[in-house]
Amino acid sequence: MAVIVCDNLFKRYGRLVALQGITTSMEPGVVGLLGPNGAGKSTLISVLLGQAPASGGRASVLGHDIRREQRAIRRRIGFMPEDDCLIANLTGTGYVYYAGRLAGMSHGDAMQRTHEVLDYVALGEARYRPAEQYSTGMKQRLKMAQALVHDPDLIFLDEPTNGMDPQGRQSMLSLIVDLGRAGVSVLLSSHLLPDVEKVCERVVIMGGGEILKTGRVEEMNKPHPTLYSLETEGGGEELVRGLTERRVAILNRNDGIIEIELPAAGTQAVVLEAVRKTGAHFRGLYPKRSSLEEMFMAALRRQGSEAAKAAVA
Amino acid sequence: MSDGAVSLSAPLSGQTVDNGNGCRYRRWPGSLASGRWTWLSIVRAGIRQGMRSKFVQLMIVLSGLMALGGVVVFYVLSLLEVAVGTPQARALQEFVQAFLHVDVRGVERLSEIREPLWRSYFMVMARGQLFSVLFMVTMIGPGLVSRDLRTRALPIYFAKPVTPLTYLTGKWLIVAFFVATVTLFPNLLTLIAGTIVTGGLATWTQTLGLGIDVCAAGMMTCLVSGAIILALSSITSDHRYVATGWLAVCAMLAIAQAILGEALSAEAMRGWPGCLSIGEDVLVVSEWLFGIREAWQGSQLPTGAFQDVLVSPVRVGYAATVLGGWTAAGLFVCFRRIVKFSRAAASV
Repeated sequence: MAVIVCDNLFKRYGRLVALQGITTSMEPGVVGLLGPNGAGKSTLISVLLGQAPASGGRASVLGHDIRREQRAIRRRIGFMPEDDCLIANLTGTGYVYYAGRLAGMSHGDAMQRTHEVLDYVALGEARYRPAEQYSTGMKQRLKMAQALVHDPDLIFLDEPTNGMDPQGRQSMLSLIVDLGRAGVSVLLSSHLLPDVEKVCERVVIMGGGEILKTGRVEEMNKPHPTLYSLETEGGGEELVRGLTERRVAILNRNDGIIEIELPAAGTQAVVLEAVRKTGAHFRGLYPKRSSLEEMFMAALRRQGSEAAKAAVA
Repeated sequence: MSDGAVSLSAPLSGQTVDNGNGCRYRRWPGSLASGRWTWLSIVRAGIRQGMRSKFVQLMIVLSGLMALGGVVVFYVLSLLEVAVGTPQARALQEFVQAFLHVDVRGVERLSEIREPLWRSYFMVMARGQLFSVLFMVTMIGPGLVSRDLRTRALPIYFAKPVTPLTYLTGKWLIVAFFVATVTLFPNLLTLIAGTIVTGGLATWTQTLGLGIDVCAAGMMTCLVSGAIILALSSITSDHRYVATGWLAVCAMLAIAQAILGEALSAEAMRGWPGCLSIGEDVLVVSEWLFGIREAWQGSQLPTGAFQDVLVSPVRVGYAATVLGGWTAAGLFVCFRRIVKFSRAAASV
C-alpha cells in the first residue's frame, strides 16, 4: 500500500502557485524528494502534514485523508524540520522527552524511549547538555531523535544533512538507511543529489511546484544503452563525418567530447572504427549514466526560468 | 551542487549503522494515548521551566507567607470575638479600622460581622496581589509564545497531535497557574487554614460561599492577565519587548485613568472613563464577586462605617465589559497568530 497518495494537489499563496496539481504515489521505503530550493518540497510536506491547507485536490498519508484525519496522521508520522526548531531552555533529554509527551506517550515510555533514541542518534554523551549549546550536526541528530521518539511509521526529513560536516553527513545518511531497513518509511527532502542517490530507493524530482519525474534511483542511474560520450584528441570534422556515415547521431560537441547516440545497443564497434579511420587519438567511450542528474538539472533550469518569469512580471 | 562529501561509488545499503555505538533502530511496541491530554504536557513543561526562576520562587514563598499572615489575622480576629471590651480587643479594633478601613468600634459581637470582615480582608489582599500578578506575569508570560517563535519551535508542536487550540490552552494554563500561586492559592490557603484555626465546622458554614467567590475572583484574574500577555507574546519573537509592552499597557492605562479622574466629574468617572485601568477593573469586579457591598449592608453597621472599604464607584457592568473585551481580544489575537504560524510551520 502506498504511504503517500496525492491526487491533483494544489497549493496557492495568493497569486503564487506553490504546488501545481501534484499527482503521485509513494511506496514504502526510503523515497527522495529532490529539487532545488523553492521547488515546492517544503510546501508539499507542510500540506501532507496538514499544517497548510491544500488549495485543491486530495491526498492521503498512511491511508488517512489529510483534510479530515490530521490527528491520526500526526500520531503516525515524524517530522524533522529544516530549521533548528529547538525549544528554549531544554536539555537534549528534555527536548526529546517533551516531543514524546506531545505525541501522546506516557511519562515512563517517553523517558525510556528518549534515552533509546538519543543513543541511536549518538547523542548519548551530550544528552544532559542544553540543546542550544549543541553543534549544528548534534542539533540535526537531536531533531531526528524527536521525530523518532514515538516510533512513527513514516518520517519526513527536511534537508537532514544541512550544515553537517562530511563525517556527520555520512553518519546521518547511514541512520536513514537503517531506518528504512527497520521498516520505517522515509521521505527525504533534499536539494543534494548525492544524498538522495546514496540512500533512496525511489526518487521524486520536483521543480517549479510540479513533479518532473518519479522512479527507482537504480533504474534512473542505469547506463544508457545507446547514449555515449566519446572523448578523442584530434579528428575534427572528419571524425564527425565518419560517425555520421555509420548512422551515429551527434548530439553535442564540446572541446574534444562528443555526445553521440548509437544506431542500436551494442554497436560501440562502429564508433571505434570511425575513430581509427580518422587517425584521432581515442581517449574513452563512456555510457551516459545519470538521468537523475539530468532531471535535477532540468528542475534547476525550470526553477531558473520560473524565477526569471516572475522577475519580468 | 554537492560538496562531494559522500561518495557515489559507496552505497550505504549494506553497511552497519554509523552512530558510534553500532546500535540499530528498534521499533517501539507501545501505544500512544488519545492526545486529549496533550495540553497537560505543555502545562507541565511550562511550569517546570517557570519554577526554575529564583524570582518566581521568591514571589511564591512571599505569597505563602502572606497567606500565613492572613491565617494569623483571622485567628486574632477570632480572639477578638470572645474578648470584647478588653484593652487588647480595643487595640485590635483599631487595627481592623486601619487595615480594613471599617469602623467596628460600635459592634457588640464581632462574630456577627465575621463574614463581611473576612470578605473585606480578601479585598484588601486583592489590591496588594495585583502587584504580585503584574510582576509574576512579567516574569512568566513574555517568553511563552515569543520564545517558540524565536527558536522556530512551532513545527515541532504542530507535527505532533497538537492543535492551535491545544497549544493556546496549554500556554494560557501556564500563566494561570503562576498567577494563581500569588492570588488564588494563597487566598484559599488563608481561607481554609483560617477557618480551621477560627472555629472549624461552625465557621465553615459562614465561609463556604466566600471560598467560591475567592475561586471566581482568582480565575478571573488568571483569565484576563493570561489572555493579554499571550496576545502580546504572540506578536513578537523578542520577549523583552513583550515584557515592556505588558508593563507599559498596565501603567499607561492606570495613569490615563488617574488623569481623567482629576479632569472629569465623579459622575463621569462612574462610566467608561473610570474603566481604563485594567487593575482597577479587576478590583471592581472582584469587589462585586466578593459581595463586599451586600455583606456590609446586611450588617448592623451604619453605612459610613464601611464606606471606605468599597473600592470604586464604577459600575461593575462597565468594568466587566472592559475586562471581557480585553480577554476576548487577547485570546483572538493570540489564536489567530498561532493558527497563522502553525500553517506556515513547515515552510518557515
